[in-house]
Amino acid sequence: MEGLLGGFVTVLQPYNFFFCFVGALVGTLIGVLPGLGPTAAIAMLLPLTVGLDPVAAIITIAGIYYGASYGGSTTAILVNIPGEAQSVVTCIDGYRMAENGRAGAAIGIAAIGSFVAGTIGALGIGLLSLPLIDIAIRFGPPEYFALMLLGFVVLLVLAKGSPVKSLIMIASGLLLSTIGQDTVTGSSRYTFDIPSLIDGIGIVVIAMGVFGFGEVLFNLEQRHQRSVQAVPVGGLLPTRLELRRSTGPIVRGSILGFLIGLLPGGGATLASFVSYALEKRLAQDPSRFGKGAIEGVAGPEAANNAGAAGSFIPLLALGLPGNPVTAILLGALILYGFAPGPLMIQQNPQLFWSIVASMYVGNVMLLVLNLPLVGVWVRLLRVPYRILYAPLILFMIVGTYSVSNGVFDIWLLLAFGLVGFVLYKLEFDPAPMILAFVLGNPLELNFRQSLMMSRGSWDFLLERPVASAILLVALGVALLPALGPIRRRLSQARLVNEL
Amino acid sequence: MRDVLGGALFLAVGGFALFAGSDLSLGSLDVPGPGWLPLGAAALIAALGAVLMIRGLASLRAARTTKQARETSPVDVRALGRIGVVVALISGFIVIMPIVGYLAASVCLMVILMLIASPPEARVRAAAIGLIIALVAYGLFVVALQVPLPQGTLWGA
Repeated sequence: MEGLLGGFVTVLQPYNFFFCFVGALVGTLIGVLPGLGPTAAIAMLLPLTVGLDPVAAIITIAGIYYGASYGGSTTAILVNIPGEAQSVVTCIDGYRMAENGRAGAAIGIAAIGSFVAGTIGALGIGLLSLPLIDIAIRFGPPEYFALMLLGFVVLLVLAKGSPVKSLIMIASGLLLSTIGQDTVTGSSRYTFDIPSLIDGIGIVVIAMGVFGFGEVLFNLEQRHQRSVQAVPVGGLLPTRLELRRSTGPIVRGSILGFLIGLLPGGGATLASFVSYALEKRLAQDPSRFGKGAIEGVAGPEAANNAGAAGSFIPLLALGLPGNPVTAILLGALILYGFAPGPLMIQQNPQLFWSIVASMYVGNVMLLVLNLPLVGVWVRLLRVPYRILYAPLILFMIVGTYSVSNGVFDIWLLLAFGLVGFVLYKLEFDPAPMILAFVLGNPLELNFRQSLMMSRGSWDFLLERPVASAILLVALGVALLPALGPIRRRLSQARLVNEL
Repeated sequence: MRDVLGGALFLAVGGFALFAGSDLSLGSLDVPGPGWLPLGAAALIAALGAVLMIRGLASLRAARTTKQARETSPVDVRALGRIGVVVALISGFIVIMPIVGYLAASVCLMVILMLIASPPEARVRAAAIGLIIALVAYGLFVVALQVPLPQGTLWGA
């Protein structure tokens, strides 16, 4: 645990603390904006952190992430528009609570739940990472290949919408990841003689384009009126009854969410959905759900925070992102010159523990500073979109340019914005594409390395017990939908996903 | 209908990727070459796109015979026009920025974006807000954060 204490010492240094604060504040600002959530916020703000010292930069990003999550849930409660997939469930009962005049309590319990979950999550990371790293140190290309394949399978089985569309998205992500120079043979793939493409497409550009710019275009097309619910001043604390009702969901959500976050393909979103379904099943009076049950806010909000913490473990310990957010974080870490994985923690323990500590500090910060700032966010939400969209666009353009120092990436931003828009209109979910895009290169590399290690024989799959075990699990998960009773449960889970 | 369009789109994308990558070698089963992942993925996309399109056409035909309600909302041409204008404006920005510099280009972009979105009576105010946004952004990005943005070849940078 001394590592964790060291992490706290680092984070609490004025320089780092200041940037964590700024990250949380700006992250909340972006997260509050309708349609923009943690993924877009990190993608947009990442370029601005490049000039910072790496540890401070990562701490800032952690602050941004939590800030954006919190901002997203505020918007979900006040305006019924989710900032991102993980806030969708919060909309259901949160907005109802707002309509019933309990908006303050909903926001308050979301903050409290997130804080508790974040604490449990940070502890969990501290406890689980080291044993996991001991195991992971012995992982080689075959094991990584198997793990990534498992991630794809889980993604496919649990994805929203039809499996055909999800598979198309995954395949598209894989295709996009091949653009650039092939590291193994040196041949150029799909570069069309454009020098900027030799290194491939950056994750920041794609994420900013699809989630950020695509969202702006989508909002330009719609012209809905946003009615912002009034938050009673000083009404941010839930009543004692509400607190009592929320304790169970928060604890359950935290633990469940953390475990779900650990799974490949899992994370904040899945955790929030599962928590909602669980709380509704466990409630004495399930009919209250959908009408403003505080359990429907407390549980999912805790779960999505814990799920995020859980999903950081595969990222930091194995270098495996399980969802778009960790995918961008992976890109960020690589940008700063770190290669997440078992070795990173051995070589840079300060970085790892600082990240863990900053999650906790970020949560505290949000609890303390954002509750009084709700009024500011409400006023921000009342600014008409026709004024907001211009600075948002400029922000994204500058961000993209600053990462690549070239104009070509802005064209890519535009292109991917259109891609994101078209995908939304045609009802494709872009998240699997982003994940496949990030995992495509490592997946291919590990596969080819495995074959090289075994001198071209596919026996490598059978000779390594861990890899085979993981592949069997993947096969099992892939075949699950075929089994009757599981199929019913799965379609129920998918229906929850489509809420 | 959405599925028909989506399927057709991906069928085209997959087909194009297969064509553009046809010079990549697939390698052998023992030593996969650079082509196996992109071409494999492209083939999968094209095949699934075709499946989606066929399914979409089948449900369209079924809907026509049973007179089900239309699943799609009518396409809002004006909305698409708005998007087209914004895309065109940003494209223009990208082209002129290296020439006139970031400051001038961003002022133009912000002012025009504000103008096209504002009601006629608020035009002057909108333009003013656009100018302020561009200036604040310049102060934030160039002065405070020192992001290296182009000064503009026109001014001799």
